[in-house]
Amino acid sequence: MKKIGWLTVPALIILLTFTFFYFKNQKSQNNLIQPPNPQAKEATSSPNLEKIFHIQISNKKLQSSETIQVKVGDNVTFTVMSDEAEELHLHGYDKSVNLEKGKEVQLKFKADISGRFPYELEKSKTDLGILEVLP
Amino acid sequence: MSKILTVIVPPIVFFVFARPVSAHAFGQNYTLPLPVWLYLWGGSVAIIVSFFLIAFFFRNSKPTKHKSLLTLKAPNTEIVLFFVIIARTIFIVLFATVIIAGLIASQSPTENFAPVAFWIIFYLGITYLSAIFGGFWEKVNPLYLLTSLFNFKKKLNYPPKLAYFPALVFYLFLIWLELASNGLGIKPKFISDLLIIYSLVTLFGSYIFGYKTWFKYADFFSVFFSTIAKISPIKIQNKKILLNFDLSGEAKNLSLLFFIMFALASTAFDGFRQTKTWITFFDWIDSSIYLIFKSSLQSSAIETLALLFSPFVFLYLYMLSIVAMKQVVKTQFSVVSLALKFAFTLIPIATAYNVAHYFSLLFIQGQSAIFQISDPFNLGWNLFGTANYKINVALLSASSIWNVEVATIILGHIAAVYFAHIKAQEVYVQNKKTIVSQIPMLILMIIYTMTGLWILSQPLTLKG
Repeated sequence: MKKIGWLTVPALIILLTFTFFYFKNQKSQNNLIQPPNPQAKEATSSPNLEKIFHIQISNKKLQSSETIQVKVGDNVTFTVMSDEAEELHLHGYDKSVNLEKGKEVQLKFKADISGRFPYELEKSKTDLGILEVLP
Repeated sequence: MSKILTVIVPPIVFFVFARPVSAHAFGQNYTLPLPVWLYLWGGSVAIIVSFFLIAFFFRNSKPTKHKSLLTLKAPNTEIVLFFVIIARTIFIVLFATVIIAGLIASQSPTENFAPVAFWIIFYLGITYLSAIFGGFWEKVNPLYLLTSLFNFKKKLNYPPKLAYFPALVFYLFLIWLELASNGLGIKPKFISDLLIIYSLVTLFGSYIFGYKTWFKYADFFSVFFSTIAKISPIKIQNKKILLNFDLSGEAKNLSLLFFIMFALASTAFDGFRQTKTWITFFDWIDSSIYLIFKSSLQSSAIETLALLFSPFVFLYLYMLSIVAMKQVVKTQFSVVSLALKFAFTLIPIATAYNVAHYFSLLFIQGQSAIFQISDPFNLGWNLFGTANYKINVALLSASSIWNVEVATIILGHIAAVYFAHIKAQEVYVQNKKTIVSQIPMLILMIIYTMTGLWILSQPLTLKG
């Protein structure tokens, strides 16, 4: 009886490990839920996973959705339109691009680090939104 | 009541003048919320493991003996002294460096050495080291060293009613600085001023009440680190290093119970205030206040009030389970005395919350200290050749952070359930009572654990 009791320990560990990896693999394969995102359009998922987001800033505020979600390995392009000369800075990746008034500029990078990275207007230190890079 | 007022009033006065400043430049956490499946999985594990533990306790009816799993002979006194002296020197130099850096160097929170050194390396670092290695802070604390060299003897008796309240008040202030001060807490000069005032208060308090009493009850960092250190499996006794999972002692005063509750609640609140649930709740409070008083409060004032309120939520649940426990076992102990006896069993959960929320901050933002230490006063030095080091954000991937978060919370949960069982064996002699008494506590701990995991799984907003 006592032996059976002890056998439940490895059984339990195996069961929990199994369910962990089962769920993990199932979730990482599919459904990357995109937030309802009227203006930041995502390019149709092409094989090389180019993702383009249009970011429009007026009056130091984002006119598009706050959260942008991509997956690790995606090639991300921000096309940014601002109503004033500023600098857009993406934390963590530490990428910056100079913004010009009324002109569309691009910020391209490979999303190779997973995490949650805010982007801001560097000069006025205004938070704009968040880039979420899912593993 | 007057005690509560003295705690609440100063921060509120502060806010009337405080203007919103973006505090995010520092302390930026790049952590993604837990995926829902991992949250549910973690929760299920906590529940399954709890029942398994209870079943195991049923099996072993004899009280658990506190046996050391590993006993080592402590090294020679000379060797220990050598390392203690080195550690003390490092801490004294760092302490002075932080104060000077805050006063004279660049006032940018990201460039200056003081904010990262104080909030991340010192506050988080020593917390985690205490949880692993036990109560070593007293041995290396520069202020303790100084006051013990002067050998301050008591001039006045420390008022017993004061108990741990001075440390608790400082704790409230520190967490308020961290979470709701609109960036005041990361201003380099402010940190230096704070440390200078803190040192003076500590010296003065030790001078009046004797240094041992002061550091035991009134000094926040000593109380906090020694509380966390209670869960460390490494213990030193009679020149022997023991490894045992034993949590002895009990809270002697309600103030220490509040202290532990605040440790639990403040971390939970920090996570909670970044969630969409909080934003909804916040807006509701905001509009209600406007309806009632026809004027709105500073947003940080609402956060401060919520922060002060949060420990009472945790305390309320805790007291409910204590009352239920008393009902079940019909013991002669009063509710308050039971609440004090079991208070320490919550330390593992509080520590787990802290690790889950902040360890990535230590490993990612903490890297700033690597380049800052080479040029602590922003004078263009390169003392250790690391001045050009860049933070490696890729050091921890999102999935490894998730795994550590869930693992710590589950481990904290298991430790808490286990310690509560041992404590119950101490309190109620009869074994049958012990097991039954565990059920309310077990439910409480499952609630705490699920709350911790739930907060980690919530979608985050831009704030914080």
